[in-house]
Amino acid sequence: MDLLQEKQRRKRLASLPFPEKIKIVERLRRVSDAAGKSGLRKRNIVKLSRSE
Amino acid sequence: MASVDHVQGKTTVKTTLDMINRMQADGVIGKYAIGGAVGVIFYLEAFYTEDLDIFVILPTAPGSSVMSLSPIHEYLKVQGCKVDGERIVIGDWPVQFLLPQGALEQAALDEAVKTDYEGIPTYVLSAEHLVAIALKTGRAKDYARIAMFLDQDAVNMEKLNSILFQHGLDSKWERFKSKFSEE
Repeated sequence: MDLLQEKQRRKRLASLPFPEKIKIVERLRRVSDAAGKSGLRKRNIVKLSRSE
Repeated sequence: MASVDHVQGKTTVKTTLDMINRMQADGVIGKYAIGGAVGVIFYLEAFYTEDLDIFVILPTAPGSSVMSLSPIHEYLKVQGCKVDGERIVIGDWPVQFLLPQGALEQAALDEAVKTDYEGIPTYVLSAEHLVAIALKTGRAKDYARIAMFLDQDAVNMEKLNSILFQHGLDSKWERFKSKFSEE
C-alpha cells in the first residue's frame, strides 16, 4: 500500500461516526484485556489497532 | 438513581458519559469536555487507548479557590465506581478528570464542541485545542497525535495558529514543525 492509499484509508476510518470509532476502541480494549490474561504483549495490540 | 455497578463488565462509553452528565446535573462538576486520546479519535481514526480524559471545571464556593477532585471521587464512589490510582472506573472505562492548568485549557473548555453519543449529549475539545494542548504537554505520544492531525489535514491552521500565538506556544510550534518535516 503506497502512502496516498494509506492516507485515504485513514481518512475513510476517520470519517466513521464517533460511536462506530468508539466501538472499535472498545473491541481493542477487550482484546487487550484478553491479551493481558494470555500474556500477549502490548506491542501486538498496537499492531491490531493499526489493522482495524 | 441507578448506580453503574449493575452493568459493570458489559457497558460502553455511553454509560460513562451518562454518569458524567448526571454528575454535572447534580452540580458536582461544571462544564466538561472529552480530551486526550478519545478526543483525538472524535476527529481521526480509532486507535487503542486505555482511558478517557475529561477536562472539567469544578463549581467553587464564593471566595474559595481550592480545587480538588475529591468531590468527584466521593460522588462516584457512592455510585459504585472504583478508584484506580489517578483514575476512576465508570462502567468499563477508567476516567481521568483533569482540571484546567491554565488559560489554554480554560479556553479549550469554553470553546468545546457539543456533540451527541447515541442520544447522550456531550462535549469534545476542538481539534485545534487538542493539538495546542498536546504541544504544550509535549510527550512523544502527544507529538505523534499532532502529526496525525497534520497528516490528515484535520485542523484549521488559521484557528490553530491564532490559539498558539495567544497562548505563547508559537515558538514551540516552529520547533515542532521543523522536527516534524525532517521525519
